[in-house]
Order: sequence, then structure tokens, then C-alpha cells
Amino acid sequence: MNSLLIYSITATSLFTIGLMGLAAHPNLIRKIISLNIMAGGVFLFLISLAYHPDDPGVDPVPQAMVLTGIVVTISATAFALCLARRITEITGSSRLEDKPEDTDS
Amino acid sequence: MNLAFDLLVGLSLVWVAWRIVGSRDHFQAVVLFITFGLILSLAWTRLQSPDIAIAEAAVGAGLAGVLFMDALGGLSSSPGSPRPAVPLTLLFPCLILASIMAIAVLFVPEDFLGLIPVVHGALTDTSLEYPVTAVLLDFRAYDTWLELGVLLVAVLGVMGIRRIGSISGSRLPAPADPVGRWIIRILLPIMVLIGGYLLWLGAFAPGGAFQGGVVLAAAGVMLWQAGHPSLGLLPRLWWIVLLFCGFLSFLILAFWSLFHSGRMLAHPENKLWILGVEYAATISIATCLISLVLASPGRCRVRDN
Amino acid sequence: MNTFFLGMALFLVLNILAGLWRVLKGPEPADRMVAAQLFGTTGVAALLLLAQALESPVIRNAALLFALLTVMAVLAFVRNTSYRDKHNNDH
Repeated sequence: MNSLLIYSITATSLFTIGLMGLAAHPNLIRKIISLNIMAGGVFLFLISLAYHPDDPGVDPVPQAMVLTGIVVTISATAFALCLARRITEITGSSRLEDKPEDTDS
Repeated sequence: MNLAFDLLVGLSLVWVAWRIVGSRDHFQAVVLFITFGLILSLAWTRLQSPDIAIAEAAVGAGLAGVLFMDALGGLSSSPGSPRPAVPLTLLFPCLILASIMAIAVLFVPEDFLGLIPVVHGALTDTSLEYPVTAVLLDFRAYDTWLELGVLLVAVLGVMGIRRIGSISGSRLPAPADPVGRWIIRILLPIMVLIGGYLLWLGAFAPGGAFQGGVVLAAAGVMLWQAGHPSLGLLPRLWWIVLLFCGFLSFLILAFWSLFHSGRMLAHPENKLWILGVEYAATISIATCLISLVLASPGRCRVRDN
Repeated sequence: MNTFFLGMALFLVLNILAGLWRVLKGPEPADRMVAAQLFGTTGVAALLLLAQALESPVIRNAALLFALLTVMAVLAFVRNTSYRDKHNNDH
């Protein structure tokens, strides 16, 4: 039981929880937040694999990738929220549902 | 003690994520997401990645909160779902997926060093001393270049959806006088200073174009939030120049090095080049992020015509 | 000494978890928002302690950013709620 294991299992759990939220919520903002949680899980996984507690330090390539990824995630989030607002303006609802009755799928 | 800290941070991350997905109130989910970013940056710190902790602090505490709050203000017309948020039919496939991935982690070899030896071996060939900045601006310059392209595409997409040509027409939020004025007076100079400081730090310590750019973007968004009109008064031409200068500087570098050394994006010996590219990238990142936040304000409805 | 700092940071994380109760319970959005701001302050302290415990002073930059930027979410919150109140009064 070392910290690599703790953080990488946390990361996979975060990814799955985000995936679940993405599938479960009809509301668009909640879907986008879930996507952000998934992104956090992926980043945590990359860094937990790059981390070596003793001599060589942390692998700089995954660090650079995650750094790029954070900035890309926030811009993609802004774009997605803008699309969500447009959908709300057109349809009058911020939920993604084909039929109001069909709530179980 | 390390192990206890790791366990606590890991468990609270998973619990907060679970509450974000499971809560019925949208506003609660957004507040929990801000908290999630905070705990995540503690995890980055513990994993000795201060670069990412700095970027996460600026993005998670500053920009993401503003974006989601604005989105809630614009979209919160429909109430939260009355039924349980997560159906049980989803739970089992997700549990199976999580356990498969967790088992896969067990097979990662302990002595897996990744690209550390390669990067440290090549560090003598570049004029930058800090490995992460060297990877971003020199070894993997393609990634950074195209990342600036992704930011530009996101800005173009938002502009296209909102049907506006520049941010100069973006309506200002209600000025929160006198709080906004005081916030600008006290915090804005410090934020610009820290943005520049992080940018300068990048050559030899954690910091660099991305962190500096994100902090400058946060400063710009704060200026706008406090009701100051200066960002809306920026001429369109200047805005476009600022938006594209990072991408263009990489392009110029690519062409220049292609004709001089035969290899694309090979940095010249002179350190001024790499600094110029880094500063231009910082300005572009900041401008793109500011435009993304400004172009999607809470109550600014674009008329359909 | 490092263990002491790390233990204090751990205690602060426990504090954040205790404060999450207010976020989950808080009847008004303002209650939840204030709790999140409290986490910002706690997070700054936790980051500073971690900087000492892990002996890497650059982490203080992250703490500095948190101290500066947590106010932005509040500004957005106030802006949107004041809009909504104005909007409700109009109708």
C-alpha cells in the first residue's frame, strides 16, 4: 500500500464517478461538471504514475501534459457552457431529454 | 503520516466527487466542485508537482468558479430533478469498470521511470534549466503550439455561437460599487505582478507561460467582474493581435528554423527567442481565456435575427 | 518536525471535511458559498504547511494564488444573485 496505489485508485474512481454523473444527469451543467471530474481523474492518474518518491523526482513529460490539459479543459468547459446556453435559448430547457416520460434510461 | 495524509486526501476526493454527482441541487454541486479543485491541488502538492498545483489553484479557484456561477445564473430556470440522481442500473457497470482499472494499476511495475532519464539527458541541449518548461517550450513544442490552436478554436467557437465579432461589445455585469473599485485597487496590481513573476520564474523553477497566462486571465476577468469598462474598450484589431500572437510566434519560429537549420521548431542558441515565444504564448493564453469568460456572460442575451 | 507539519495539514483537511457539512446542509445558497470561502482560507493554510513539510517553498505560490483568487467565485455569485433579485422584482 504505497501512495502510487492510493492516488491511482483514487484517480480511477474519480473517472468512473464522473462517467456515471455524465450518464445519469439530464441537466447540461451537471454533465459538464461530471466531465471536469473525469478530467481530474485522468490528470491524477498521469501524475500518480509520474511520481517517484525518492531519487529521480517527478517525470516532467506527464507534468507538462497535465499542465496543457488543465488549460484545454477550462477552455473546453467554457465552450461547452456556451453551447449549453445556446441550447437553453433555443429549446427553453437546460435538460437533455427526448421525451419527458422517458426518465429511466 | 504520509500514508495517512494520502489516504485522507484520496478518500475525500472520492467522497466529494460522489456528492457532486449525487446532489440534487445544482448550486451545491458547483460549490462542491470548487472544493474539489482545492482538495485536488492539495493532492498535486503532495505528489510534488507544484506547477500543476499553481495552475489548478488559478483555474479551479478563479476561472472555473466564475464560469459555472455565470452558467447557473443563465440556466437555472429548470429546477433540480426530484428523482434519485444516480440510477442503480448505472452503478454496477461503473463498479466493474472501476475495479478493472484498479486491477490494471496493480500491474504497473514499481521501477517504471518513464521519460525522466531522457529529459534529464537532453537538458544540456536547451537553454532552459527547468525540465517542465523545457518539455513545454522545446522538446514538445508541437504540443504547446497546437494547444494554443485549440484555445483559438474554442474562442472562435464561442464567438460563432454568440454571434459576436469581438469582446468589445460584451456587456459589463452590474458594477459592485464600492466593493468592485476597492478590489481592483488592491488585488489587481498584485495579480498582474504575480502573473509576471510566475512567467519569469518558469525558466528555472515551477512556473511559466501557462501559470502566468492563467493568472493574468484571472486578473482580466476580475477587472471585468468588478465592473471596469477598460476591457470592453479594447480595439478589435488589438484584441485579434493579442489573441493570435502566441500561435503566430510559434509559426514564425517553425518557418525560421526550417530554413536555417532544416528542422522545424529547433530553437536557436539565443535565449531571446525562447523567451519571446514564451511571453507571446502567455499573452495569447490570457487573452483567449479572458475572451472565453467574457463572451458568455450570465444575462447577455443575443437577439436571434 | 516535518511529521508535525504534515499532521497539522491533515488536521486542516479534516476541518474542510467537517465544513462540507454546511455545504451539504446549508439551506441558502449564501451559506454554501460562505463555507466554500472558508475552505479557501483553510486550503491556503494547508498548502503553506505542506510547503514546510515537503520542503519545497514554491508551493507557497499556489497558496498565494488561492488567497488572491477565491474572491472571484464570490464576486460571480453576488453578481448573479443580485441579477436574479432584480429580475424577480421586475415581475
